[in-house]
Amino acid sequence: MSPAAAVDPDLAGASTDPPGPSPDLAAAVVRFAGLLRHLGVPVSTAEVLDALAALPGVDILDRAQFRAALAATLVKGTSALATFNAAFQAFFADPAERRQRLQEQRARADAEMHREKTGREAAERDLTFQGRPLDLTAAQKDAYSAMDAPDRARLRDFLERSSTGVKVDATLMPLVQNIVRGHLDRQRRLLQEELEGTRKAVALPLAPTGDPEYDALIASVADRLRDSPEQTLLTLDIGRIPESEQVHAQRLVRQLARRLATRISRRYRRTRRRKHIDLRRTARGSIRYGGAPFRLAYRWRAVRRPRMLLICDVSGSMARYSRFVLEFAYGLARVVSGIESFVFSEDLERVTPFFQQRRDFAETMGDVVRSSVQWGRGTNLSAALRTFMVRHRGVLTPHTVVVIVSDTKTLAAADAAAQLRAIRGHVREVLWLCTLPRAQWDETPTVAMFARWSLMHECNTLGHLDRIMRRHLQPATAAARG
Amino acid sequence: MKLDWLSEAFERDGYICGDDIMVPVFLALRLEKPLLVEGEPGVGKTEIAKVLARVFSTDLIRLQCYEGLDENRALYEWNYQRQLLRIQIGRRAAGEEAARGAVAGAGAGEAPGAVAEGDLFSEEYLLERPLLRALRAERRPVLLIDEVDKCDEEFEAFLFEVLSDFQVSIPELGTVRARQVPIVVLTSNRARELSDGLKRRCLFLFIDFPDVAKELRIIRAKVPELLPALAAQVARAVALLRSGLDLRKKPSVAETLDWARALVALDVPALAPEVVDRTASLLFKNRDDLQAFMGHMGGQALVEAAQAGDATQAAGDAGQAGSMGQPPATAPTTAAGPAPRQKPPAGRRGK
Repeated sequence: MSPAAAVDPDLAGASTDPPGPSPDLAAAVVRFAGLLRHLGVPVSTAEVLDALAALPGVDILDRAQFRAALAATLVKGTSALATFNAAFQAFFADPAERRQRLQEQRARADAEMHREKTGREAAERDLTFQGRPLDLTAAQKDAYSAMDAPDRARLRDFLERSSTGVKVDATLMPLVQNIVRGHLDRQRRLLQEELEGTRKAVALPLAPTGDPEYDALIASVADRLRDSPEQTLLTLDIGRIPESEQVHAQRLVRQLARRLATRISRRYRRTRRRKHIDLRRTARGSIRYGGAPFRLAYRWRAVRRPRMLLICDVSGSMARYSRFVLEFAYGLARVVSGIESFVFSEDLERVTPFFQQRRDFAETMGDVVRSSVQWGRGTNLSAALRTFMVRHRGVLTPHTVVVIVSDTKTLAAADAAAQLRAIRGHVREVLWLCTLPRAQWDETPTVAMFARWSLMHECNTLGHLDRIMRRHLQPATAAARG
Repeated sequence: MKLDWLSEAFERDGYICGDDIMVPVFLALRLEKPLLVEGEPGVGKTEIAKVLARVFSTDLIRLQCYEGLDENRALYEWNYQRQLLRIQIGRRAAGEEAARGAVAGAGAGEAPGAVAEGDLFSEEYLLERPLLRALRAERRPVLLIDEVDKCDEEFEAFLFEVLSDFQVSIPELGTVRARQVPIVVLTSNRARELSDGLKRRCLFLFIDFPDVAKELRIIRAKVPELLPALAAQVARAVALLRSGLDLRKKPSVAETLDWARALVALDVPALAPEVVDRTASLLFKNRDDLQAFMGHMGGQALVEAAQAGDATQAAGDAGQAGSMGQPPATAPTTAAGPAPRQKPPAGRRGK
């Protein structure tokens, strides 16, 4: 083609603007942007205005063009594309589908209300002391109704035994009431954790908005996103990944580590940014020009690869989390110089030599678990860090990033925090990958104790792990000559 | 300018794509906003800017980003060596004048050879770099800011400023405003997250790997010498490699085209296991991926899978012939205009 022949006379193309979108369409786009925000996609007013300005340029009756115009203006990253696509399909569905979705949502809400009502009535009927109902909150009654039948029977049996007897009178009621309340609160927390773990699209804030149509849309988008296996594994609590999905999860960890390694390896090149003149080299170079500083020499920033030191809790349920962190970290081996790894439960063990043989990770982990005396025991971080400071203090350098994987629950936490403070003074950063959900941090005092001397991150999913590593594995720089 | 016109112009230039790509490009032109293009290497991000420059017969100004890129390299720089020479010459001339004046007994005054500061910071000593060149261009240029994710965050903030106002301040010369807003295309391989500010300023386009049908059209447009049946096998084989193997770098369109051209050069009539094994290095860009292919799939399995599609294709073709050449019920995802002309490509798709 001759390019000149194709030149459009109006290169900017905005001279004959068609009229803007109709008020109904504009309202729909604004509402759609609101849905995206509710689903966690940041959409600003400026972007909504862009979308409205874009629509007159495309054929809005052509679904592909309409979708592409909204995607180009409202979405600003690949991470939000899956949510956008699911939201678009749900929001701009045909009327029949929308009506059906609304009906289903209403039916679900009615069923939920009915279940809640009957559950609370059962709690009021069953949980009594000498015929008087206990004073329980609605949440405690809900926890009772959600319990298994044998557990409910046990609780009724306890109340029955506590309220009968020769010396039992009404004065005992507050004591019994407190015991029952405590039990129900614990059940509620367990149920909440269970829900968090099994709810696959945990990245979505699924709290109801009160608008039935909106809630139906959100539920529909969540259903669509659940179909993505990678999304599911990224957002599922590592401790709850089923055995059948373990192989997929390990593969995903390797992919994530590989992607991150490829990205950050570029940043370890020596930077060419020119900031400070190197006077000595400039003066030396100027001799050939009769003393005139004709060519300026600059100092370069040398970029050093970070050193990583892993200290992983392998007591009981923590072992599973630590395994994934170790696999991720060794996937980064080619961009992180020298990974030192330790596992601990009651004391510390160095496991670096196992990983230096460059064998298959699964085999290596098998050897580590078989030979370790720490695997699956109780937790004493204080003893572990003391051992570390006595035997391995030499591996700490100002370029080291220390990564600790633990739920912070340990014996002698105050002493462990003091040890951590000592380590913090020798290294570039201490990252604490805390496997406890953030919602439980306030009620776990050890979290605050360790957070004083480390950067504490919630890390109980592969998505968390990827984000944290990506954020913190930036190269350290130091002035050097080049 | 209409979307259809732009789609046809892209297709005539050999860039095969659907509305998913064309609409964001069109809107970037229409709304005069920068276009941020993300996607795997080799899917055709950079090519969009090149095609735009050809379609509008305008200059393509390229700013290749890298770690350490600064304003001096991107915007402007004073020609220090030339300024220094001017000072030296001026000083020498002034000395000679002074000596002559002393001999002749002339009165005091400014030596004619002396250099005024304003002279040294004039257009004559200004080295235009890509951003300034784009702002001062006579005709609206295409400014390609390639691999923006590789530059430092400080430079990204500076870039954000330039792209917001399309004007820069040069202390010695004053404010330079764009004569016309350039067509700006930024590409990113997602090496790092870009700032929200920059992203917000741009329209966004993600280019995914093409599906088999679209990739076949691309192959036929870019490598018309390749036999049609072989082109279909190549498209299916590459799609299979992308979906079936856990690779560090999946083969992209650029690799597909390299492979297709290699098959033409080797005069291959149809895919065969030994041909695939011999040419696999064109598709895989590192040893791990090559080993993964050899270990988990191999040429034999790939060829069988690619040829299995031939039967399906033939059945489909027969079905279409039976319906008197009616088009398929579902429109192809890439239907953005008439079929591409069978001519050698003007440029390669991708980097």
